[in-house]
Amino acid sequence: MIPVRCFSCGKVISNVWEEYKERIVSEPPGKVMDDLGIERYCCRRMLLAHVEIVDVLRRYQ
Amino acid sequence: MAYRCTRCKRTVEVDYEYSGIRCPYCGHRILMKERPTTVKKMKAV
Amino acid sequence: MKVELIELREDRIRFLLTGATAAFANGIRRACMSEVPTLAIDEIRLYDNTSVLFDEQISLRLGLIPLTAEDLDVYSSPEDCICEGAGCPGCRVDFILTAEGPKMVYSQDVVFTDPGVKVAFEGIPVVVLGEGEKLVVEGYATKRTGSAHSKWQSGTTCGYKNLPRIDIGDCQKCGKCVKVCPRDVLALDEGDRVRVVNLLACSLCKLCIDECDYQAITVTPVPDSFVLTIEGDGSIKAKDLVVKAAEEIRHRAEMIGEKMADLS
Repeated sequence: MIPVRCFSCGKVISNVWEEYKERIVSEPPGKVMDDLGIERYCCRRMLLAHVEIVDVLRRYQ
Repeated sequence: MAYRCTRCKRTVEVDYEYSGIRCPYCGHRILMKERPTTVKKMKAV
Repeated sequence: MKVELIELREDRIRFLLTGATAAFANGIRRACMSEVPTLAIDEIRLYDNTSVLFDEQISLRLGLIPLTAEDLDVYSSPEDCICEGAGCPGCRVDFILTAEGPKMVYSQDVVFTDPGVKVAFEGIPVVVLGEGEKLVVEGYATKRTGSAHSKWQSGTTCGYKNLPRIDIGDCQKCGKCVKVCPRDVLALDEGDRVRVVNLLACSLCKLCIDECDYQAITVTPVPDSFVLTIEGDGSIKAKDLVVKAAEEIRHRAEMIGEKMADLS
């Protein structure tokens, strides 16, 4: 699951995660983040570096 | 306390003296403890 | 002391503070971060959780959701409450969260007993529930300040810098300083002279000074002018955040005055 807030600055970033995930299929991630108001590089790496693994984990429940 | 077999997903009772830690239905040796029915209280941090 | 607004958004305010000391600017910054109270989920009771996340992970995620209140003043912090911290409707807002999979549980699924209290952002994913997975949680939110825990911090990114002052002397119009500036503070005008076009963006890195072969440019901080940038977490408008921080500082100063009057 995407962390609720940015680790470094505390800005809420998880509310844009789903839109971000949909849009990076066809657009460059940097542009999408500019659009979504994710400005600082600490917040940007939260989205950029996130790997969703909950669905992988579920198989081993 | 009940356990749950991770392979056949059935609830099992462990008989320590007879079979040790082992599922009596499928023989799998990995069991998981069931969640207790009590309410768990914790700080949201 | 003079205040000049530079930028105002719902979540962020930038203003120029002139005629103040660094201690005062820092006081505002610190008060925004740790002295302005806000609501956050404090304690939870888990009845059932068969999701992939651990109970602790769910409690952490719930705690970090910013909450807004129509009128925050109706709540008192548990320490100052008439119940003396035991817990009563005056210092607690109860909530419930129940969900059954398959579905994504979002922040807006958290239901508070007070209709005036809401989550500041909808669409924060709390947990994904698969087929047959269940989550039943209840708990309460309390009003505290950022000094108790960062989840009660209403000002998240707050900072200030001195206002820069850029003087251009005997310029030879080579344009090197324009190229080296990482924030495009300088530009060449029609007569090829270097002009300051975006003073507030300057971070006083002084790269232009090193680049100039003729020592024609100087960058100095103005000691009594500050550019403050205050960003809130969404639970309170940035504008109100600064006002409340200033009120808090005044309140504390008054308290010192009263204490001193008692002594003499």
